[in-house]
Amino acid sequence: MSDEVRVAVESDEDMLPARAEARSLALRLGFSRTDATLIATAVSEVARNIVVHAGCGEITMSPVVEDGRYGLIVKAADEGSGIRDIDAALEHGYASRGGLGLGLSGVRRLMDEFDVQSQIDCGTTVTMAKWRVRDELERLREKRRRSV
Amino acid sequence: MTSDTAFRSAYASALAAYLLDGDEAALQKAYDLGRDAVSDEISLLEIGSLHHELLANAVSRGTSAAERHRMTRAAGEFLLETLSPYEMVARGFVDARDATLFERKRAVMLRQLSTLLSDASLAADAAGQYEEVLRLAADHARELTSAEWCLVAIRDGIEILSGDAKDDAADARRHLVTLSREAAVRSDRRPAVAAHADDSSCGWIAAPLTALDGTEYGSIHVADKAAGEFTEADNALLVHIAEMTAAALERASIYEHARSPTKKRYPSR
Repeated sequence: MSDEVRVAVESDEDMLPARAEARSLALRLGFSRTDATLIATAVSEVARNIVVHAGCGEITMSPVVEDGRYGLIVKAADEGSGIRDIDAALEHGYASRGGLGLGLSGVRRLMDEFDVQSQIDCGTTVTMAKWRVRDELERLREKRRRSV
Repeated sequence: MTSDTAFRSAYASALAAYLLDGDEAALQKAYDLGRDAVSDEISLLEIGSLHHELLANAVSRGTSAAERHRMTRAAGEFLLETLSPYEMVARGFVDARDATLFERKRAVMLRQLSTLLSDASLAADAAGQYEEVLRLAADHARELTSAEWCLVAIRDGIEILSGDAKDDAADARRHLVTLSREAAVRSDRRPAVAAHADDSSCGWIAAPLTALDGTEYGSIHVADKAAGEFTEADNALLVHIAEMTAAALERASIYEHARSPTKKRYPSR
């Protein structure tokens, strides 16, 4: 499995490679097309947040393969002005687009793990992960592949 | 984007571009269209219908089975992107529904507590009515704040502990009794909020039991939230329960005095 991927986000145009890498990594890991779409969606939203609220930042995507499961961990970090009220930002129905449930609150629902750390004037780091349990057949295939 | 016509036109162009080139830029466009559609409240049925119509037209122009298969698969990827914002919103609806149900349950329980406290405070059995009031308050406070423990302590040494028996029950009880004595000397009406990470309890909040005339009866404490930490909503709920309990104690005291005028009114001063 390849190492982590880093994408610098400095403008709207950088959302494209971030999405593409997320989707590509997810599909290579073995996520379904639907899950890969949701992961790309989540990365889109956090990249958009970086561009809109901080101006620039970085997204790091790390594939993880364990015996019982595989997953993709995404970390989106910036050094912007920070989030004044994280609870409000994550509350369902609260979003930059008039309370539609998009933005960070929407991303949290798409991913299996989600964490936001933010300090005023220091920046924000969003860490999220999506996991899939590997079934027995998949584990056997992986075992056979490693033994070759 | 404010009109269905504009959306249909943009969707058709973006889908055609993706069927031709199949690149990530077109998929991002699909996602942006989905976000706009959510914002403009365009029906999922409209999107499904439009997509199917465009796909049928595209496939009918396919020159081979392989080409038609490729276009069908690509169109599916495009549709997934457009619908992913709806997925976020749909999951949010479930969260909102669960939160509403939870708040409704809380409101029902509070109304029930109010009725029970009222009945208990006017019970004929004076000896047991204070304990009954405190027991009701402790059980409801524990359930409503999802706490492992609730201790209600009033002057004259009456204490009611609500919670499942555990091996460390004795330690937890001693801890909460200590906290209740500290809170009892406080005349501040605001609840105390503290999280003690270095002991057996995982979070603790308390509120004074103070009657409208300023009489201090004691305090109510909950500790060890089942999941996460106590929230501002839990604080507000505990204060509300404390106020209801203090009112019930005052009512019980007045009623007891009315039955036995020679007896001093509770609490003893």
